[in-house]
Amino acid sequence: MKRIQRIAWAFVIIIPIAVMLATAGTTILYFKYGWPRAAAGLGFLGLAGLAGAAPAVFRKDAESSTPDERDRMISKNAATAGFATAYGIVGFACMLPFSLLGPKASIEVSWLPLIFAGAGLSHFFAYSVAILVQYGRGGKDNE
Amino acid sequence: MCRLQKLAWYQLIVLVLWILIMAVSTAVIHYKNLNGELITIPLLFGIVIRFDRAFFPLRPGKIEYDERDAAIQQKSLNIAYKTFMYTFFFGLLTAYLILGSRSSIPTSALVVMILGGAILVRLVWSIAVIVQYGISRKEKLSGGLVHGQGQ
Repeated sequence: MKRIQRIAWAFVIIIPIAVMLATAGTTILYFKYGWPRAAAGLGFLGLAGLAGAAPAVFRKDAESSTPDERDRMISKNAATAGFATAYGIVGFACMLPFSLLGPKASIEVSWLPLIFAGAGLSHFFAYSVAILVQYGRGGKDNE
Repeated sequence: MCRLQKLAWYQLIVLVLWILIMAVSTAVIHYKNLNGELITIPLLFGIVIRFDRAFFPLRPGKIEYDERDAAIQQKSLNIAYKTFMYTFFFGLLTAYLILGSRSSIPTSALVVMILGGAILVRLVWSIAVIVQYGISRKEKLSGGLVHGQGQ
């Protein structure tokens, strides 16, 4: 398994765990203490930052080859998939309050960073999934 | 000029025209105190962007899209998405810092934000495609010149 695949696996495992813990934490706190305090559950999203340590954990070893044309292509495709997913998430997150609450309603500014956090997480998740899918496909083709 | 370049030029011209029409319409609606819903009429002009494939169709028997075009298209797409993400991030940060976390914004502002984002992505994509074809043409020309001098 290549280094980039290991890093991608770290992102694919850690991001859903962080999102699940944040959802569960926010839900439990909401039913126990009500809204403003329940937002503390979103702090679990910070766990996703642990995935950022993956490049340091899976270090480049002497045996790992320099990236070739195929690696670069896979990386570019994955970046496009990640950005496209984040773009879609931002679009969905912006349209949702308008559709649910109507054009006359308003939302608190404190919700806006959450939209960007969602876009960032979805970008890294989609990027990692695209890396794993493409190497999986390539592996089968090469065998 | 290849098909992708034509598509990029078409998109760029339509977008610039659309932005101008929207700006003039908004100014007219604002200063003449007209019904705000009238803005949907110039908004509809944006559909013209989707006619690009009809104006520049793929012709059978002619290679109009090769590896170089695919690479330029993908690089442009990544540049466009990156620009969108950075603009969106700094836009949100500015709104957060200026208005404060306790204040509110209308939900329609979010729609305007995403519409602006969509226009920005297409605008940056078109410019990136045009610039990259320009650069590769220049490289080709300078390569040819060096080659010619060598002979």
